[in-house]
Amino acid sequence: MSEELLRQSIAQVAPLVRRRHVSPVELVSAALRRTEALNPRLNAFITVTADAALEEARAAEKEIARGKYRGPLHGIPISIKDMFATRGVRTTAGSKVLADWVPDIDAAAVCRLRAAGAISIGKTNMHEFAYGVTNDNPHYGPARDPWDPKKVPGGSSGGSGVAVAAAMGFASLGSDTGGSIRIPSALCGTVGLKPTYGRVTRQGAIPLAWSIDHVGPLAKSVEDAAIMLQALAGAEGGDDTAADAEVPDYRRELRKAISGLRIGVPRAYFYENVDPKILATVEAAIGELRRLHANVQEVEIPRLENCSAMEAHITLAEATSYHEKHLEAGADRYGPTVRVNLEAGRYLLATDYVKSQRARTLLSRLFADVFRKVDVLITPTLPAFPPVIGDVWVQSGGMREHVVDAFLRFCIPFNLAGLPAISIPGGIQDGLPVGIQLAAGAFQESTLLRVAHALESAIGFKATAPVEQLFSAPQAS
Amino acid sequence: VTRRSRRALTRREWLQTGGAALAVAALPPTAAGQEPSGFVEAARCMRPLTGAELPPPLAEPVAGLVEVITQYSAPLRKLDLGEMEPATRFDARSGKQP
Repeated sequence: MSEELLRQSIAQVAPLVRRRHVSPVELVSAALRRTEALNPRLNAFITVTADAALEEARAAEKEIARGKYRGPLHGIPISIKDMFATRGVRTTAGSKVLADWVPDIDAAAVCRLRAAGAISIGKTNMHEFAYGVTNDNPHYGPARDPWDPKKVPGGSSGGSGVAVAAAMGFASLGSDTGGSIRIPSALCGTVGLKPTYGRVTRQGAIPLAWSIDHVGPLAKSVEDAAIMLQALAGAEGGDDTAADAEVPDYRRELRKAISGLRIGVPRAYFYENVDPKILATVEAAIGELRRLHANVQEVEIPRLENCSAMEAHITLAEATSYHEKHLEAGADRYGPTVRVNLEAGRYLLATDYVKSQRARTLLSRLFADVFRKVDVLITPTLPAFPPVIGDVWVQSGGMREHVVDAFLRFCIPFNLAGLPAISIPGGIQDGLPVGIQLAAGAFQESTLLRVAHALESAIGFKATAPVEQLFSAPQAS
Repeated sequence: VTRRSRRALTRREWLQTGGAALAVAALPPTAAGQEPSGFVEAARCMRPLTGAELPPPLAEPVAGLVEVITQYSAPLRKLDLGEMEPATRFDARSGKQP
């Protein structure tokens, strides 16, 4: 019974918890059992906090029994990317640099999820300091794609994607600087939401690049992502980047039809050099939107070719600035590729960094023009399928491409412009999920989630990876 | 890896090649078959500016990455942004970056 419940969504299980048909202890125990069985094969977690989770579950059970039900996250087991500070729990950021760091406070986003009643069962694996897209971690081992454990699950929030897809908990808290929520969501077959810059506080999250870092959920369904965002969104004292913008009732907005909404298809850039099977999946999704009576139209967004250079200057400069003290204290503790990136950040020109930030202003205006014409954009999340762990080359249609270039290509424009974007599963091709990306104007998460929910319902994808075969398989090395 | 081959690489391709360069950095230069690039020399000369020592095994991959980023930044540098200001905002009232 409990194992079956883990395959459900938060929206399905929460009413059972509220009516006391299912206990948080039952849910957390089931999630821990599944994690114990699967984690040796998938390496989704760096730290599992079983005792604390069970203690919180017992407290939640008593609270609900007293009639103090907090809402749909109450008693729900989730996980947290290991770059968010967690009080009394080691927070490594996937690096040996912070291998022994035990924070004495929770990150603000973690506080919000706890306040909503969610129960963390542990800290998920990630690309070292979120500085990469494969989750091939040199210190804690690679997280593995639950659909094919030989392959990368994407990153940097790879462990979070794996945990959600393999039902080791119902949702996860991730971060996204160049696609790090959407990339693992696309590859693992989950829903991943990068909200508007400022929609969710970054306080207590270890930064990669402050000006383009975003915090958001990975979940099994769009409705669950809306439930998570509801708990996470809003102004935060002490974090001036957290916007004081009204937080709508995201779940209620999902019920509205999408008939008449304008859906933009930016063929140039976003549909170039893409695997044909991925393209076919996105075209099928566009067909579904038409069937739902959305107004689908092609749009053009100029100047996107500069996004890669802008991302490089901003990420390298800001990351190196943050890591200066750690580099001085012990640069050898970094993995080799992160070390090269951090050292390179010392040698780029300040004028290129400022030009990149100025070009973001232009990019924001260009997107603002587009979102006067359409409500939501639809693109592939990624142009290629995942490589085998250790390989860094992928085939993006007719172009052989480095995995970092490929996986950032369609995600990074929305980090630079700070706009909300979501990846939802569009279907399965050759046994692997395909992600569809939707994006909207600033603080238009309601519209974005509404379209994503309608499309998800039309596609009918169920997002639990076929991991049962792993229970009897030899342990991955 | 020669300068000629680097020109054809993207930033991440160079990172991957740079990983290989790290591995061969311990070999004698003739065995590695590499010639130092202008960027390697530039990185060495910048030590008084950066205040940081770039260990020899890292010099080639780091310089190569910087070179590639610089190359593909050419269109960005040419972009005419007029009076457009940076996207980052500074709140003079609080002295904080909102």
